[in-house]
Amino acid sequence: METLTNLVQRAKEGDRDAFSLIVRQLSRQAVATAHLITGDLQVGEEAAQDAFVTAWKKLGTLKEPAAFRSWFGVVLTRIACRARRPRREQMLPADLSAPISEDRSLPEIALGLSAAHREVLALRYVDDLSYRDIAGALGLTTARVKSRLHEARETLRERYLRSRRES
Amino acid sequence: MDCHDAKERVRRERNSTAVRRHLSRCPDCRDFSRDLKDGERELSEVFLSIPPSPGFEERVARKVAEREISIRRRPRALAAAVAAPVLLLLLVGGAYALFPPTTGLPPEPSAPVAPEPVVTNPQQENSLELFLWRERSESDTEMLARFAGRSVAVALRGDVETTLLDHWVRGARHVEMRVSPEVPGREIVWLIELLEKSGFSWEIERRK
Repeated sequence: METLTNLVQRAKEGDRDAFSLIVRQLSRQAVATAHLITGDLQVGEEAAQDAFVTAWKKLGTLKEPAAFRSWFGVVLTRIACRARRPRREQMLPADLSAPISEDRSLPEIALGLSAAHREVLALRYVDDLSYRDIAGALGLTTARVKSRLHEARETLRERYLRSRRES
Repeated sequence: MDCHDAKERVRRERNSTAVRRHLSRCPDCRDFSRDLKDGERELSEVFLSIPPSPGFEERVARKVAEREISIRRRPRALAAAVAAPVLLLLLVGGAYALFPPTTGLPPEPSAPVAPEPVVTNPQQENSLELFLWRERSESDTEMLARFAGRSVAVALRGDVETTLLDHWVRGARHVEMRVSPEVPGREIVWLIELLEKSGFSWEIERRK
């Protein structure tokens, strides 16, 4: 199987078939990331779709094909953050944003976190980006990414464990 | 290291020697660490287990193809917009030259013709400054007066399209945008896409 870097190089030269193969490789991860960021599967899927089209459009500006993965992460994050529908919970502090019911599954708990926490969790654990790339995508310092990720994990863990205990 | 420290550190530096040493001795902290890992793994697995809806890749491919077609069509549309009035002028001018209207009076002596004003600043000729507001106001009009000729206040998409087409025809290829804070992001995204489709380079400044 051709490597992602080779496919990106071919796509940069205008090869649409190569780009289709990139979409095939990354679509599940992109949709999952955008789903978690936007908090809605359908909105996330539309955001992922727009991110691929934008990536194709802007591919000429990417200098290093090997950096495509993190570059695409930035594109996806920006589009997903923009596509996020305003929700009441985003206005509230994280600890008040989602009341815990007894039998909630992990995705439900994750989707009930604040938008800021969902973003870092999505980029780190679903999209698998480095701290540096997440910092670039969200316009934060690396230290802030680490502390936000810590808060997000902590909140998620507490709610998850509480939910398991209660069920 | 006590259990409290270990639990704090396991979240930040799970692979440090001190943490691993504590975990090897303490079943409670080991369980805590395993729960933490399980939660993260499950989070990733759960979200990744949901496949995109059927036809996702085809929809992306179609959008990419549509975009390419619109890029190819745009210059033709612009060329047609330029060519039509030029052709009309040539036809009218040609007809006038071939069949001049006769008045029955003797021809007047020819007068010297004033030369057309020459644009001396190529930067001004090739770039366009766009001010974007959500709604036009009096102060906008005042500000525009200072940038007469190369600045345009736009509040409506129709205005933007007409302005861009007009300046494209005149040779502008670069757009500097000054965007007031209340302009919604989607309008800016739309404008950037339009600029790129039309082959403009652009710069953007969000006004405070």
